[in-house]
Amino acid sequence: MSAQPKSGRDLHRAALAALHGAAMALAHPAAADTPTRPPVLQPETLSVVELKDRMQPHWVWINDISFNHMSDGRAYLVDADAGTMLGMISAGNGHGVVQILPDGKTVAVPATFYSRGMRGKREDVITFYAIRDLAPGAEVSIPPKRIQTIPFLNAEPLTDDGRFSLIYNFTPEQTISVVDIPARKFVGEFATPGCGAMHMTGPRQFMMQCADGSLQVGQMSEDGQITLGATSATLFRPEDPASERPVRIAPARYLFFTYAGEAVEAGVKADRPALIARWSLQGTDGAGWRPGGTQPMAYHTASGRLYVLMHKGGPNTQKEPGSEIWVYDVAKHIRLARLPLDHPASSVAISADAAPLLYTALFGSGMLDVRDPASGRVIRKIAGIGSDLTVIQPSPLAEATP
Amino acid sequence: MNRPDMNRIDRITEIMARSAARNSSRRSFFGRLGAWLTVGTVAPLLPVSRAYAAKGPQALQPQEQGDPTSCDYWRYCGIDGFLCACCGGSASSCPPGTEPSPITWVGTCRNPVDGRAYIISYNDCCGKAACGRCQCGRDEGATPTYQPSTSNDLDWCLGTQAGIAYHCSTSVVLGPAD
Repeated sequence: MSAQPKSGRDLHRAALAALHGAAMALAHPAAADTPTRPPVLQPETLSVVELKDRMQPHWVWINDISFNHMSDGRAYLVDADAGTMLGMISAGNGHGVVQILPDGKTVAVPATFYSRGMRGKREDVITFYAIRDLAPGAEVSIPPKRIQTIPFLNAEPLTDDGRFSLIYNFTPEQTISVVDIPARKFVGEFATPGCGAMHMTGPRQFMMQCADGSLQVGQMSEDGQITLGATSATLFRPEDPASERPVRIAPARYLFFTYAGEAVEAGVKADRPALIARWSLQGTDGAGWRPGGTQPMAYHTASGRLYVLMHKGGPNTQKEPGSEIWVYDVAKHIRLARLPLDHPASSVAISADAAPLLYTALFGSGMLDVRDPASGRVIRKIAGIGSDLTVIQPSPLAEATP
Repeated sequence: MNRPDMNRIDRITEIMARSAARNSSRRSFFGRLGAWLTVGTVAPLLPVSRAYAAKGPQALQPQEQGDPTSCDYWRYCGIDGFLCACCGGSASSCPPGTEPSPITWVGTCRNPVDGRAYIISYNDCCGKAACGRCQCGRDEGATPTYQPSTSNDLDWCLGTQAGIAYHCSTSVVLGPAD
């Protein structure tokens, strides 16, 4: 017969003794040696991080429109090489874009605020942030009329030299506010009846999309005054409008796309809007597929390649996220590849450098995917970036700086 | 644009103008004055203490079917937003304490019960943060922002006293489209 089983209390006591022994052994691993303890932790001084003074080629801004709490719009800055969040800007109600100055050292952020959060007095401002500290600096008051919409890049563009900021107003009267960036000064407000979105086509020139399906040129003077210029014939049919999210494929040329998937290249020649080419994104074997999302296209200037979020769907699916990225040679109007995605994406962008990274995000996911543009393969995922990601803005700089 | 399209736009314009006239101006002033006169006449005859009569959300019309808290309800064919029917309102009522947008965009949806197409006004209810319930995006006939009268990407709260705070979307029948 085996020994009497111990009582529960005995077992408990034995277990405690064993644990105590183990703990002592851990605390004094060599009881025979002189006890050595690591140096005591030193008191710390709290610091604030400063970044490099300009954006690096694989730094990228991401808009979080915060759809369920829109007074809390955010612009996240991440390092796509390291997969880390670098910092953030709180950008108020209906956050749109950050305006990255050409030297990559400053961003101007158009924003809307209310004195009591979601109510009270409305104030629209452009606030300047140095990349180095991401702290709010100078501010310029602008008319409280900024368009409130699902963000798109050319609602609030800069002139190429960074001299002027243009703000698309909608009240529902359509106007443009102009701000002199170096002077930090509001210039004026200019009516653009029937037309909106400003696609820069020259140092002081842009092209707008009009409700009747035409394009109209806007000219700027050296002191920022806008005059309306020539208008094209109707280029887009009412039943198949062009998205307000085209890509710039040359200094004075854009690739527009319609909801049904027609690519329409148009630009400005001799101060007049000009239709350059029409071709099909579907080609001969893509029937049933359409472009869609909140930022459906990205163009890489150095390689001439176009990346389009495509999904299977019919009419009225222009906001559907893409399940594949289709890659095109824009000069030849041909598709080079179809890149299936591991999960759908509603925004796509590409870095400007010679070894680019492709970025995708799905509205609602809070995640930026960093991809190899040749294969679409995910290199890394950066999670927890806000909630409702829309516009992705890569660095305008192709070269790294120390 | 061909002739049938023009007819449709004319019809939409006419219906919207009538709707605006119903909701504003002299007629509205006299309507309100009439209501006050009625109250002034009847009030002395009523008991002094009365329970406050709640003003409930407007219900479906008898010749409709469907669930207004569901995204596939027929009136929502062009909507993109949070359904007011899930937020304390209904397809044609704003939740308490919010302000209806006076201007908005319109779509055309077909009522499956009578087979007719109707012009639907997608007025936003404004002045509070997003409701966050029953998000629904169907986008039929929706256009880009530079074609605003048929764009559902715009925050239509811009015409309210409350400002641009978007809470939820309604789908109000303006009249037959055909």
